[in-house]
Amino acid sequence: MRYIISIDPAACTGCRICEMVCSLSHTGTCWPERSRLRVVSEEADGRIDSVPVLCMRCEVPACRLACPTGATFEGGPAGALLVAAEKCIGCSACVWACPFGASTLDPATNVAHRCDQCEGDPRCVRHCPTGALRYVEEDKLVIAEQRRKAGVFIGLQRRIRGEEPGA
Amino acid sequence: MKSDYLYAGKILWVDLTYGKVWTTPTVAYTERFLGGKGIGVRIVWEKSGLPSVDPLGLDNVLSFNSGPLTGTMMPGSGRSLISSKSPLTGLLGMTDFGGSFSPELKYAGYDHLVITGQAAEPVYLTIDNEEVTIRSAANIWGLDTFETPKALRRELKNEEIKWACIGPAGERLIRFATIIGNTMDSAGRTGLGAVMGSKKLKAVAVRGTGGLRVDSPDRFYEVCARTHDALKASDPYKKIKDRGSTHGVDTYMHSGLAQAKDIQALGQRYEGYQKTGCFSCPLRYMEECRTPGISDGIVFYQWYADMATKIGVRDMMTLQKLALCINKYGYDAISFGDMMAWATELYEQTIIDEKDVGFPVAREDGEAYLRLAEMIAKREGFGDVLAEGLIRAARTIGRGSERYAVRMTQPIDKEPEEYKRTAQFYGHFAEGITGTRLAFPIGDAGKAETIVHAEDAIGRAEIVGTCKWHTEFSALPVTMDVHAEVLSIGLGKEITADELSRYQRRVCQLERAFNCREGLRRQHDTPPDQYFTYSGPEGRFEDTAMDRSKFEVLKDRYYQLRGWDLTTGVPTRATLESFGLKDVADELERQGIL
Repeated sequence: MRYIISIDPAACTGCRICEMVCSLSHTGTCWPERSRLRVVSEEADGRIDSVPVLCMRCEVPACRLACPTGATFEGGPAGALLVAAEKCIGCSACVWACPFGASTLDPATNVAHRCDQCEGDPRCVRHCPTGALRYVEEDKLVIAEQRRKAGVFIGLQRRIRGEEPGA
Repeated sequence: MKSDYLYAGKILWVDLTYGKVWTTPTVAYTERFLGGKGIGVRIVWEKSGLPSVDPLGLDNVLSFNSGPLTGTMMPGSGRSLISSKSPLTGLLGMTDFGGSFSPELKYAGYDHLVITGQAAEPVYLTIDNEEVTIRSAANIWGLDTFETPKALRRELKNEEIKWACIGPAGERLIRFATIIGNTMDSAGRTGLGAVMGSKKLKAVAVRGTGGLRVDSPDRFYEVCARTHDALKASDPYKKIKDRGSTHGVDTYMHSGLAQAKDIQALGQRYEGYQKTGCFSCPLRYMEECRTPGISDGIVFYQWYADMATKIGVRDMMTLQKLALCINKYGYDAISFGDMMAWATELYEQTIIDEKDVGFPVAREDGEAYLRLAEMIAKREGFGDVLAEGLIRAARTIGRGSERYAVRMTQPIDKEPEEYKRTAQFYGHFAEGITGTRLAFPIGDAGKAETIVHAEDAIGRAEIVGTCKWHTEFSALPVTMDVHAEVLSIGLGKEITADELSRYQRRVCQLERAFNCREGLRRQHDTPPDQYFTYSGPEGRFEDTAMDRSKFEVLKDRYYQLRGWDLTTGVPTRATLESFGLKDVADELERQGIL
């Protein structure tokens, strides 16, 4: 069973509690740059849109493939993409390779890091106040997403039949 | 309090007259004043406290303050408290906004940013960790508060900056101008945007990539986690979660500050809004709205609740247009409501007419108020008179207009019929007109105690660096004990609840001493005469006049609780010394006040 932390940008308010929780529990500091997930916000005309950026647990992880020393490996109870600190040379290959910007170097140690899913109980998820971060079984998520998107077509059919949308 | 933890460690000073930048250790202030507002008030007391200092002159200082808990996992740790001498009241001016400006400032290495002097030409300040630069604001001066951050990001080629800025109202020294921070929250009360404008400082852009150390990270995480959970389990939280900041209207309702028809108006909730909020805050107190013709923006319940009750405009679209227009120009929506209610009454009483204003003014006429909102921002015609604030505007107009300035001191109040309930709180302490002190006791019994309790809850949050709305003052479970515990763990030094309370009460004495040095005395802690006789136009609000003798009894009680002289209202030497403020007592004596 594969668990992922799913993100819902529409629900994210940009409060960055996740950054605080992550940096505090992994590094003992309140230091956003050391957090393994970052909230990226765009402000325009008094409107703010935010999205949490974190490891997507790729089936073919570019970070692992790019690592020249084999420091990145799948491990832990969650099968996360962990880093063997003693092998990491701080070259940033994984940082550039990741299509999501979810691999970074810890600015205090210059060792690569990314979300380790807190050994199967991600604290950011626990404290996210809006459900923008959820810890879910990937299969169930996929099915739910299929149902949500299929709903568009089902609604269309109903409208064609002259029924109330969403009835 | 000395500790290597939680504090960033430095105060950043910027002298705009000479273009000089330097830092001093925060620890010089923490022993007696802990942080946040405590240190902010102390800095203003030291640097621009004397009555001779013009709030809009060279010698006033403007201090952006954070506390030891700012920028941590503690909920509500994103607030920035700004202190200076107010151009509106001439007393201590304090106001605050949410967002993430202060956390970023701490990550850059600074607990406080203190601006002194005045630049010759418009400038803005950039802080990129240790690198502090004063830059020409030639390209952004004149822009509104929506355009300014865009221009800053464009010019600095940096999307990550956090910012604070003024709009055209601050530039034009409108005495109730605001300072706006990212998330578009405004530090609205006491006109500190005009202080920033007088310094020709358009904006501050900060980027900090450092972090804050914590003494016992695991325990600190646990106590913060517990506080987050307690917040989310609380009743007010659930209301805010469902209804955003309009839940605050309930408070207005219960206290008699708003009427059923206003609530109905606010009930026309706007489709397509989204909640947003401040750094490290689960509450999401802001609502984003799309308002055609004005573009998007954040609104806060108080802006429209206030205007709806004061000027009778019930149409949600017009209220939002007003709120956003005011926010773009950068001035205080609450003061605006006061001014409009007053101007409308003058118009009804034919003290002013169409010739003065340029068009008719009538309650519920949203279009007229929108025009006036623009005129104030541009200091055009009658707007120029109003831009000076209520007291000065009444002086300029004369013709008995002062008699109608029931809101002479610009407290936050709503309709005359509520004065009786609230004015005894709002009206009395002139320094209390900052929007950071509210209390809603309806009867007289225990009112003084309630005021002290509310002031201490809010003050405590502002000293430790978390949001005042998170305290027991808003029925949220971040109590004195919680603050004391989380500070003790984070700092690695035991601070008891009593000690924390003592810090707050010490700062409260210093605030009072500041205002007494500016000339505030017992007789000023009184609302205008109309509060005691006023019954509204054509006696519309009979039975609203306050009882003077009851009010004086309440004042006695409050002074006793605070340890102030009953005749003068000045803190006694014994009180000041009991809080370790002998130097403050000596200064008051030098000024012939003690």
